[in-house]
Amino acid sequence: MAIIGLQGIRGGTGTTSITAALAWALQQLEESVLVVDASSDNMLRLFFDIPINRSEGWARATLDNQHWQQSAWRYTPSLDILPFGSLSDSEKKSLFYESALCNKFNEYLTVLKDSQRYKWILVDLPTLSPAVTTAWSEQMDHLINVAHPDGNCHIRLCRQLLDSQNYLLVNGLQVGSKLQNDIYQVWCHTQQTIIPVAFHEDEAMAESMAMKKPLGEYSPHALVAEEVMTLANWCLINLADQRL
Amino acid sequence: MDDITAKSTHETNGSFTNANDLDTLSLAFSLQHIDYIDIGQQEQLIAAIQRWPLLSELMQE
Repeated sequence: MAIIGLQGIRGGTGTTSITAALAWALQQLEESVLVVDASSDNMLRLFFDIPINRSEGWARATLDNQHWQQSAWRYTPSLDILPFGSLSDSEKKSLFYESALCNKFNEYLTVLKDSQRYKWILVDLPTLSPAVTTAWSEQMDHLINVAHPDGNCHIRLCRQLLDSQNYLLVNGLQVGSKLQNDIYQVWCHTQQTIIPVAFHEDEAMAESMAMKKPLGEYSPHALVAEEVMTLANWCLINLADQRL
Repeated sequence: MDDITAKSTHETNGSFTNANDLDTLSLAFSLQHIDYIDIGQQEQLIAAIQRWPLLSELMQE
């Protein structure tokens, strides 16, 4: 099995949409998958048709002294979702100073890893608070950083050298944009760990959230859905080496 | 001959870095290694960096 963390280089790069889409693609390839939301935005669940007013999730359960395992949902026989859970604004504010909650999450990941129940665990990591996510990142077998080929992400990538365990995934590439294509070309030459499949800008990705379905289920023939399937196959070849 | 054609087709369908004549020639003539710089690609890269002051400035850091 492999635990893959997905994290945006900055907010708004489409990491949550990609996590949901990749999970769907992997289960289409007959792999068992658990997707875990590590972001207090609690958005990942919405791609799996969970009612917006349901508050269950691992963080909510932990704060309420409930069993976190009971907050998971089954979407298909081989695809489960563990939401973050709904927290109040004050709970969110104290979240990053609440090391007990962060430590609990590390415990949960260890339990999941030891259970060997899933071939893939995909964790949607928040972009902010590196103090928290650094500890979580250590639990990941691999980390995929998601970036848009724009000036903002380019500056961030130039300032932070990606670890050799971190892969770079390009999302939202617009064929007609000279700037994006120039930046993408520069990344292909300078970023050693760039994943050799880029996701093109596609309305189907945005629509999938509005339809509350993962991309591949909502629009399996969209170009970007085929690109996600290519990524899933790339993951099988390159990231599944730690499976027992 | 069939073998060469099959290999070439496979390689040129791969990532864009392989989609150039040199790789095809290398496979066709079983060249192990040539010390070659893809000037066309390098020129494109330089033009891309020079087009945008932000990219130029960051490359100089």
